[in-house]
Amino acid sequence: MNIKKRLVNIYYSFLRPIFKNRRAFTGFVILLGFFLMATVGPLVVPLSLRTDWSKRYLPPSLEHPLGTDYCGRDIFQQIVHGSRSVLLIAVLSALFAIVLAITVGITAGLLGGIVDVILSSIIDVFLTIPSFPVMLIIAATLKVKDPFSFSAIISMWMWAGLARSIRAEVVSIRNKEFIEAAKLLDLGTFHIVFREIMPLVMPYIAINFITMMRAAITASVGIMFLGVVPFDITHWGVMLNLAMFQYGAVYVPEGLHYALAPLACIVLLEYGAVCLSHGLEEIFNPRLKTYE
Amino acid sequence: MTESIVELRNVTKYFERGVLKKKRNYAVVNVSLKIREGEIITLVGESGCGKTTLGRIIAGLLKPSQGRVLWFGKDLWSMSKREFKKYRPLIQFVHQDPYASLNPSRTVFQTLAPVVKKYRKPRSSSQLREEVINILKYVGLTPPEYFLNKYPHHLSGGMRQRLALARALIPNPKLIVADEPVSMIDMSLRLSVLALMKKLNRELGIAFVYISHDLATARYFEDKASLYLMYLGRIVEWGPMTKVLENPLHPYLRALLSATPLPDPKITRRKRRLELRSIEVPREVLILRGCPFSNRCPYAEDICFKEVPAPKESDGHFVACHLLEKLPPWIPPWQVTSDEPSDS
Amino acid sequence: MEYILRIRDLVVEYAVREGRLRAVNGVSLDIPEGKITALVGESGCGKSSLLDAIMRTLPPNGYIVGGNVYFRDINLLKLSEKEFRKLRWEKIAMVFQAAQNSFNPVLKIADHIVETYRAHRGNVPKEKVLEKARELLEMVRLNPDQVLSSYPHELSGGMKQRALIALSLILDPELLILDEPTSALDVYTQSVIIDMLRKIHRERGVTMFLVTHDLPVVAELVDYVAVMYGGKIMEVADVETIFYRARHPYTRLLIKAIPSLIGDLSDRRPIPGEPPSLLNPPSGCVFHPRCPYRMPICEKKAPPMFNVKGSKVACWLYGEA
Repeated sequence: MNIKKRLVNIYYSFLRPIFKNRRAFTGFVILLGFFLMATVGPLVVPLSLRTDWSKRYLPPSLEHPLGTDYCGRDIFQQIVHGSRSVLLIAVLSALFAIVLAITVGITAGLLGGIVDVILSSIIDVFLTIPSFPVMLIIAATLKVKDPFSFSAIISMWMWAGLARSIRAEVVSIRNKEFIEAAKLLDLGTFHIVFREIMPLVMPYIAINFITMMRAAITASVGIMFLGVVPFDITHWGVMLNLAMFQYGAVYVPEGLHYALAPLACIVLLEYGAVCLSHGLEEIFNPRLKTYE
Repeated sequence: MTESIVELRNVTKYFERGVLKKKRNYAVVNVSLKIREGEIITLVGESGCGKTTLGRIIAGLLKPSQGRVLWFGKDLWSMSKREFKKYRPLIQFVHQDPYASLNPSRTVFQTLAPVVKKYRKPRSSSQLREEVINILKYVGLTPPEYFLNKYPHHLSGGMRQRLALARALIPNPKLIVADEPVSMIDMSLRLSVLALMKKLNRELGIAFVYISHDLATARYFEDKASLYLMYLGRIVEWGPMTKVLENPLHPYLRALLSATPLPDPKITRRKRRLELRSIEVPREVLILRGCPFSNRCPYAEDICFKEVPAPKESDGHFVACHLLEKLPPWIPPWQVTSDEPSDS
Repeated sequence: MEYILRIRDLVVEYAVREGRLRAVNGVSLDIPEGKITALVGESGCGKSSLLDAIMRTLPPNGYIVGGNVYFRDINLLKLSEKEFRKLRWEKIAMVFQAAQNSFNPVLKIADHIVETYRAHRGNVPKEKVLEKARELLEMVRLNPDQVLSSYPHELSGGMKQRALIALSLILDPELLILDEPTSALDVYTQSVIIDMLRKIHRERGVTMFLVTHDLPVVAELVDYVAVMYGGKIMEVADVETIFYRARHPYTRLLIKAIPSLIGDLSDRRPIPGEPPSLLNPPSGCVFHPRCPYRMPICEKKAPPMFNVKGSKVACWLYGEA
């Protein structure tokens, strides 16, 4: 199949159902907006971190669409540049978590036996340990300085639930007749994992990817809000931290917008993620049979 | 004697139940048979008789508890991995449920392509596509281009089963074991799938084991096939189908033939059913001693409860029954010309 | 002839992801009293949906969009839940496919029967109910004491089905509706149950309405046959006409496509083509794409039911527009 056909295929199988479903479409648009903001934004919008006390806590205006902060810096610029950090961490965390979950889930589900017992126990351990406090402690102790390590830590506490679900799916699929047919035809383990099992599990994984991004945002914002990992001051979590604790923006009526801006963006972004994941769930819902 | 594709020697299969694994459920008891190249064997019996289990043993999907399974003369369960890899694709299996045997997230093309890639080794992607199209045409899924990117839930039961057969024939197998392939398909479409199987046998020389609970569909292969009748894990009668159906000997076969409803109101209402002593099929093979049919057989005598009947032959037609000489001659129930309504 | 059940222009739809699926597309059918009538069709023809609509067992996404169903002169569709439940078992008994789901798994059969009986007839002494039950079970050659003292899972499928059919008669219903009564049973048990139904019909005069895809069973048992395809009735006639002199092309082709133990194999043919999509049904007559006798009008207009010598046929070969 050539490129054109491939693109048409993608359109019909992924994009069109999303456009048709209202929730999915809303979420998709919101996320797309933030995604553009994160990629193109910083190239278009300059970041000026020069303090200018005369411009302290200016309300939103044409020159400063979201106003200025305690040091007179433009909030909108910070938001735009911060979005990159936020989304990068969200995507990386979700990615690491998914790769780990798939590997562990499929291995445990397919191999069974002692391997399954060991891996399932590991999954259970990760599931019972309270994620947020532990993440917090580890992040503080390791003095995380870059988004990759940070994402890795966050992903540690997100992968377990998905791994367990994937394992359950694999266990229910591995005895199905079409898997037996693949074995009869000696198509090999690689084929069975990647061409029989994965496509079935894919929709579920896609939905979980979005959900995990949202959880990662919450986690990263939370940790940064508590001032534990301040490596990027434009990250919205850090902005919130600065607004709340350093500059006391919430106590001063003029400074309210400084705290609200990042908060609003976080809420909006998470809302977009929720919409898209719920919409995808509706789209992939196998309960309603398709007739042709 | 011609080489056999699959041979079973005294195969027995039981499943252990209970917490201490003490109870044994016998599914197949002491079965021996030979399948030769190009043969069609119909394995008929009612649910619980063990025919599916036997089919899976033949196809190497299940290991017998006792006895030997020979593929191309070699013991299957003591083969090396490499040998098994060589022989595995030559014996295929088609499942009863055509929906379950297809991956719902794969299109028709995606279902066939990996198999074609492995066994036909096409040299380019366009050749691969062409091969897939040819196969679809051969099994009657036309126009093939229409079907390429359809999913299983877009296809009817008959189409899905054709697809399953298409997939099974790609490695050029010597034998296909088909487990009740038309039981879950509409009546009006059954013949087309059966005809396809006949075509595969005739044109490609593929041997078939056709498993069914329905004598009427088994009869479709009459001109070429042998009939093997199973009851409670044993094969009680076998031989060339035309012969066996013309002159059924085993009381169980006679009971079945007399009880099968026929799509002809006048004839079917006239026929008299052979009365059995018990309506229920015993749920467990309690009888490892004596004839499995003894508790229901209207002719049963003492010996039937004590000794397992050994098969007796008459010109290629085998029956396992002690009372062969004492049985009344067979008059097909649909030939009785009495006008009285059949009573119970 | 009196008609005990009259179905008029029934339309049943399901809400599915792709839109609305019309499973029953304007079906009118009269079930004669005192006879055994079968509604025959293959999977997807709508017969199960028709039955579900009448017996109120439609799934949540199923809707009765139009039409009426009259039992004598009572409109079944307009009854309240309570009124309908009273009618059920007393006037209309129903035996579902695969009896397993009809008996309460935690009750012994005897207790289940007594409970059901009492729900309809008030506090009747247990012995009276069981006496009646014994009589019915003996009629179907079951051991009454064994069956009554068992739990459903202790009985085999065949025994359960026989017990269910026998016990459905305990309140002397006028109409017995059976949904695939012999599927999933072995041939011998099937034959016994067919005999049993004939006997019940002969001795008690219960009207029977049987929904099935199994044509040989229909040949064994029934008086009248209605053939359904693509959500519509194609032909209604007595059983011999259907099997020997069918008028509708679908019926004719269907009879020819059934594998049989007797008769010449060479003139058996499958029906070419595939069952129709109920989401996008063919225009005009729903069978026309597969019909060897189709005419231009068949594609444009769906034929009404024409009366032909005591049968009804929905085919343009038998009438004018």
